[in-house]
Amino acid sequence: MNRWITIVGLLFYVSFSGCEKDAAVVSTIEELPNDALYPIVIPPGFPKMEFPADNPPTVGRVALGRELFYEKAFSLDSSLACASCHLQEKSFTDGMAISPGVFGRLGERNSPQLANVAYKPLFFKDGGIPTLELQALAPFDAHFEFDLNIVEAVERLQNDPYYVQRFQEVFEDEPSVYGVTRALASFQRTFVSGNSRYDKHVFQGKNVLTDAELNGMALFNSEELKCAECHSGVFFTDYSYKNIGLKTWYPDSGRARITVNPADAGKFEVPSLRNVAVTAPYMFDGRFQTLEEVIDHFASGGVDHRNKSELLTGFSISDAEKADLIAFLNTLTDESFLNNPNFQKPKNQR
Amino acid sequence: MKRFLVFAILGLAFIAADCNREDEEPAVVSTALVSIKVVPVINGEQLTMSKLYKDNQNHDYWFATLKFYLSNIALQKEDGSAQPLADVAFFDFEPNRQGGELNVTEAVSIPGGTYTGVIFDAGVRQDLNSQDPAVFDNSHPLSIKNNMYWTWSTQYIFTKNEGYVIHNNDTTSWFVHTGTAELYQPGIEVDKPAIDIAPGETREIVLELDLDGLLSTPNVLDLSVDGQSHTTDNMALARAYQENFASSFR
Repeated sequence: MNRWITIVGLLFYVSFSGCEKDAAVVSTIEELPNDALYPIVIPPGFPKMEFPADNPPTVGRVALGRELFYEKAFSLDSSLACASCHLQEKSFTDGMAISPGVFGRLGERNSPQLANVAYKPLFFKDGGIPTLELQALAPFDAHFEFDLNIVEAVERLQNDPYYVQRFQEVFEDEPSVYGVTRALASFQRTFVSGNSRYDKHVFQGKNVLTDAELNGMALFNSEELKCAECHSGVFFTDYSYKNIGLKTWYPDSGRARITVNPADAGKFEVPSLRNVAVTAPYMFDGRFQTLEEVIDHFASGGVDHRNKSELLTGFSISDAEKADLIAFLNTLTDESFLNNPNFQKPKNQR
Repeated sequence: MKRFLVFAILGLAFIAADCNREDEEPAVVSTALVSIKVVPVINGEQLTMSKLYKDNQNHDYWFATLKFYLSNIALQKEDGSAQPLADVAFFDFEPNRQGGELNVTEAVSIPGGTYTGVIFDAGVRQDLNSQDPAVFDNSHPLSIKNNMYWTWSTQYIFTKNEGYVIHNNDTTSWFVHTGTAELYQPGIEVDKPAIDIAPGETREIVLELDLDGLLSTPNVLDLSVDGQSHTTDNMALARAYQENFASSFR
């Protein structure tokens, strides 16, 4: 029994209106009305979740967003959905260095993981997008993703009686760009991952980490390795942009594509390390297949680039220490997140 | 008392009759319907998409796409003040566009009178540029249907011009997509001989877009050498192109 349903089954919901009279006992999320706030459980140690005033994550929007996340009519040839490059069991990555779009077209960057996206300040590896709602627009017109103007994608939904009814139920309107972006964003805000063995140890007071894992954690936080300088906080990222010496020249200029500042060339978002064991391959271009390769890169100090972070000074690490560090990183895997049935393709989805 | 009632009834009847006469008088029309039409001109003729022309380097080249936004479009009054016509307008000279090329703004009602020019900004003004495009319906100039929005940086493309240039028997594509707040060009003024607009008139005011000037004034551009920009990946070209664009209206 997943913990969502357990928690929801315990008590009551508060309606979107906030009226106490609307409190009711329910046993499953499906029993909640469309306009009730979706019961997103915030794990211990996590901050309060904020969401836009015009898009509270209601039960209806989340449920519709879940269906749209798996909807292949969004791509030009109806071959791809959001879920094609964002697989739940891989923390919503896809195991590919570069994900193929329609007709096998390749883009430039590795699929990002989506755990805890509700907390991200900016989206894309260059930080060019400020909200989840606006992010939902991006795959549509990209030639190497869906390659279909979102207005045309919405017209497909408008011609589908099923979606006409679903949008009516949720938005009291016909399918629209507005509704699609709000529903997709709402569904993704429920992707909260904070129930790993690390969380149990640190935030739930359970002494579950082994000596090797604890040694790995000490190495991670050490001044010599400096991992925690950037992979900090509860999400294991400070959401900064860093050049970590992967190339001497970056055809993909990263953060500079947005800021037009040469000092930002080759800088990419510091990724969250939650569920990092299942998000290979690594780096913005998916160049490293394993965590060993990643550690070796940082140990080497990377290649020279005028914007390379001063933190990339290299370090020495024994094989045993490397094994411990990887053991620690493995404790960040949240199995309940990777297997949460509420994120899976709806059973009745065509 | 009876006499008073008779007078009162007669008086009311007179007032009512007078009101009826007022209703029957024709309304005084003081406004005119006005729109702005843009005509792209190249090598001394009106542009035909995909037709070969000579550029300023004497290379053969052609346009495949010519789209842009203008903001704060207004007519200038004799006293120097502005008569607004549109917050933002989209122009698209794609001949195969559904509904035909979009070369004219929506007609709006303005007071008749004498005007001395057209004023506008090149680009999408910031308060509109920062809007979520999902809020605009399909008929709005800022609808995302127009493929004029950079989803990767959440802002509008100001000009999207594309084509091909032939140099040394090589045909290469050129494209200049300008945008970003930095390249917004406010306060463009195109003086016109006195435009007298009579009340009740429907008038299309024509602006010529000089495509030869687009490559030469004030910045001389050679698309065969440097002809590709999505703005942030080649800001120098985008800036020069946008400056030329702003000075190419007649």
